[in-house]
Amino acid sequence: VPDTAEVVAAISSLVVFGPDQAGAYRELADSVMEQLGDDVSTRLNTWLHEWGMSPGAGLVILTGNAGTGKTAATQHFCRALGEDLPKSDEMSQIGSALVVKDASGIPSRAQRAAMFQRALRERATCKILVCANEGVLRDAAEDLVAESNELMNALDEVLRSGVCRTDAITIINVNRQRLTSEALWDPLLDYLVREELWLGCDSCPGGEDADGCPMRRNARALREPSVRAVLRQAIRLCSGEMTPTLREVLALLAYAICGGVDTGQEGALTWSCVRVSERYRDRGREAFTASVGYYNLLFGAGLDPETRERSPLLDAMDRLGCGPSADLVVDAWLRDPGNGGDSVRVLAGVRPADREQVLSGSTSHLDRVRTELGERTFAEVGETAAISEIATEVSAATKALVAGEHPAIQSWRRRVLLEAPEQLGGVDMALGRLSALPFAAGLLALAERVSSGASVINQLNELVRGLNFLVTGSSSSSDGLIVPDPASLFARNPGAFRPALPAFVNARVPLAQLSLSVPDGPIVAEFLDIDHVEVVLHLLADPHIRLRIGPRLYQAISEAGRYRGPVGQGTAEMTDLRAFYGRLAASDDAVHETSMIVADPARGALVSVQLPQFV
Amino acid sequence: MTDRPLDPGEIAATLLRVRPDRDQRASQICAEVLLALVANDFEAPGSGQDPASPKLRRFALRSLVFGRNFLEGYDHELENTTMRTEQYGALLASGEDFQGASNLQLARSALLNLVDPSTQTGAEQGQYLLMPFHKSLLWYDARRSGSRFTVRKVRMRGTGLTLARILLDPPSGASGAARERASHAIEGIAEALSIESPLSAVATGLEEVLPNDLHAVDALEDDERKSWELGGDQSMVSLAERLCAHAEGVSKQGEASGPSRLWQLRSVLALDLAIHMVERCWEAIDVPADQRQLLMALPGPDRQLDRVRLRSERSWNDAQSAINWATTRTIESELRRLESTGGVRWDEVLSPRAVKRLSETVKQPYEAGSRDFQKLAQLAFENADYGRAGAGFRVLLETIGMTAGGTRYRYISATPDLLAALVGALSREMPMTSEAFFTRVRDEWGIVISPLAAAGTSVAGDLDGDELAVNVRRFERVLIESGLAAGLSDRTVMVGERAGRRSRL
Repeated sequence: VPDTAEVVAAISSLVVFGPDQAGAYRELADSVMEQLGDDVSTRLNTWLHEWGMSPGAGLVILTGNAGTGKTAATQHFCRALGEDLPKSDEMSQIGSALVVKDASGIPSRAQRAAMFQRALRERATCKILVCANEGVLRDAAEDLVAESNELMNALDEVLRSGVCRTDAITIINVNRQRLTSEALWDPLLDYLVREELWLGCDSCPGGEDADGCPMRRNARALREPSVRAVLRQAIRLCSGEMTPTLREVLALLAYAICGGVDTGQEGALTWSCVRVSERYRDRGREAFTASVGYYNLLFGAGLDPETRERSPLLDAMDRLGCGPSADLVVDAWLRDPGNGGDSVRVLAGVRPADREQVLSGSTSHLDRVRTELGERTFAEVGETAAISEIATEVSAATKALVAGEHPAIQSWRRRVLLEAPEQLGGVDMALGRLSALPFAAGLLALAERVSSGASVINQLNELVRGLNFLVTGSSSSSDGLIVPDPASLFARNPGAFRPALPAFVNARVPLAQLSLSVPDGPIVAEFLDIDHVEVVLHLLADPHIRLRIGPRLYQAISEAGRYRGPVGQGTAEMTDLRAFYGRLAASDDAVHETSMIVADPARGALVSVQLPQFV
Repeated sequence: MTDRPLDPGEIAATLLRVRPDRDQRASQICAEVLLALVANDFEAPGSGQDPASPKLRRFALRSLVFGRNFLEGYDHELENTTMRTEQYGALLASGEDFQGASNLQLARSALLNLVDPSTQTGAEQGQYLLMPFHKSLLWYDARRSGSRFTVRKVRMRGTGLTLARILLDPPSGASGAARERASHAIEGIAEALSIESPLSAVATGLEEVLPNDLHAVDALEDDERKSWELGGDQSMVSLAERLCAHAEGVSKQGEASGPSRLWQLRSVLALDLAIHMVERCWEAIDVPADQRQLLMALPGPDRQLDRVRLRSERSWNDAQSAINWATTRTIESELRRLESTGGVRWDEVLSPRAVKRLSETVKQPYEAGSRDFQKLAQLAFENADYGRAGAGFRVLLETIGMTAGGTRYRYISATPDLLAALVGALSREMPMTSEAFFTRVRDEWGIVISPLAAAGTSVAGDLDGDELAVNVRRFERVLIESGLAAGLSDRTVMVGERAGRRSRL
């Protein structure tokens, strides 16, 4: 049985948001693996292991962001050959194969080009595995293009498709690996929170049914299916705008378990067992509150804004708006938790009918918040703010609700989102109600449908309606996809509160000439665990004219189609739209208007304009 | 030397060579440049010949767009009809369908979408402009004079003519590369302004029925001729080198629609002009080299904690001060020069209005014997319209999205449209890493964004590298979100894949 104190130390070393992050790097991760066990089995690791065991030769290049698991995958390949990772970054002989564990560690550009040259030359005689960041790979491809453009062509293809397999060269873009795939998500969480890791250390405060330790309680929460389901959807939505690497996802989960140390404690971001037990000894159950609740830590609570901004995943989580996004029903449950049912009463820490004492309904730090009156449960804060007749108490409760670093109202919404989604109509509905992207979960469902080959004609119709509104202010799909004149599109501001003005039309594309697909095709699924989180709208006649629809653009399109009013526009989304319509306007495959047609938002129709005739 | 060398306009011209003004925004300058290019058919006039005036009317189109009869008072017969021009304008202004037309009101609404909001100040629609997306959508300022509208200088004041001359016929001291780029720029601008579209069909269709008299432009005025000649002056060589390269960059970039290129051109014209102005002021007052830069910031939510933003506010204030100080220094020099040539004859060197404003504070002390020219110059600056040059610098940057923070806490920043213009202007060198891009932005415009670009400047002494690194990340994010850059898997950010001219994908 692992010692929980050692487990905590190992997990803490995975947190990359502070200085102590050694465990997050494969070369230094032995102590982590000693405590947490072997890696979660990914499709890439399995494939490389099998490739290592099989006969034959070839060149495999893994490219992708730092922290996506390239070195770990390489280690699996080396193990298949009965060896360990090479110590150096240079090309090394590992058994019968050649391995470069990190091409960016090779000192000069010329040396890197020479290494790739050798790999291309010897790929017919032995197995060669190279890990290279995209910039390094691009440099080498450019350097070698005079001799051969096969590496350049392969790089272009892998950036488009995720995987490229040509004449004994396989390049895999590990950025396409999705940790939220059904096969990976639960094992990944189990890697950190499975019960056997959290049986308690020697100094465990126990208490509250063994939930006195906030870390154990956080870990227990992350074993709950509803929490896992909501968190998975949230990270899937984040994946639409950044690449959640293995390192960052593990860091976020580790931080959600052990993080949230009050500032000023020697720079440490995470708790240790000793520190938790000392604090519990000194302050009892009031020692810990929602400020170290996993549901706040998942959104970066306790980290300074600059650190949050520096982490793409934390930044994306923050932009989901979970916590700041209000739902009247959920907020009202604070005042009267009984309306939410028994599960909501438990989450709010409602006092039993026969008990008057403060915190008598609390079961862990997850239902407690700090106020000027002392620690209180969510229910007690809500009740005081709503019905107390003592002005100072009302003031303190109100302040706790909305002010400070961890406003109770935000903590409450997050807890309800993660632990009681069924009370809000299910995971997708809960995320829609308590995030800044009410429609985005629909994209995930659409992506699933598209990937399964099911008919999506209705969804395509809806997308076109929304797009037509975004670019012309007219939300009908009866004329197909309306392509406005580039000048009219340039002037269009879908976020403006003034009504849309008519726009000149350049072309119309019938629905039958449009199609939806997902970015990751079957070849990517051969090598990587994938999870469809985006769809691509493209012209059937020319698939290169395409619009990638991520969560935020889907949100804008859905709002436009549904509400026919101003939509919250992101710069990125409008830029993508302009580029897409610009290509459509210039495409020979679109049917361009030969007369003057104006899209009239007031009539919801296309109208012909005729100038005065004097002949 | 001019007749009234102490007049604010002359002082500005002495100091800056051009005459900026708070009414002359990026849109007016761009429109005047494009009008001059179109009027001259994108070619420099022959040696010794005057260029064609940029004063294009487009009164029929304006009547439709603004619902006001710009043809009132013009009594010409339309071709192939008995209808008179005034009646034609009235019908267009009414928005009613006539002579077989249909849905003119709708066409008006669609055209109104293209009115440039930055020109919609004041009640006079004669000075409103359309976004410059086609040559048929360009017109000169108009004002009602007596019974009818005429085209005349209101907000377009000749600076556009100077810049147009630089592009069509760079000063003789300009390099061969600048000439070549100017030629390419003109080619690209002509192409972008000539892309046929339903909009151009409407604009052209409405105007072509007017008689030739109404298309004819007036002869060039003297001050227009001077503005044109200034574009060939040796003092404009550095501006010409910069402008030709940047105009060529935006007009010849890889993937960008015609409207995008023209909007970027609007930004680089104003930016290059503004930088030219502030550089001349730095030079005039000997600002140390390490202080000659503008710190551009994308701040976080908390102003007080954001030292980069606070430093950028200071950078803005320093630039404004430099312009004001240089203006004062120029007034002082002029006073000394006048004194050395027989004394200041106030009624001769200033307009009557300025004399009146300076009578008590400057003229009387001078006449009473005061020869503290530094003080007199300062008093003159404070009491007459000498601040219009600084205001001109401000509105230029304001209207291209380079300032933010309101009037109280103004700092230097960049909207995605402006960043697109910076990327487009450097398209010849694209793609490049974000670090290289920020360094090139400093080289080209003296704008500091990154720690590397700050090296050797006073900014490096005031801010930590970490603080500027956060600024860099914010800019990189906007660049990526705006489609101007791509984040590579090794966290390198490559700028200008689309704008570059050798796109692989």
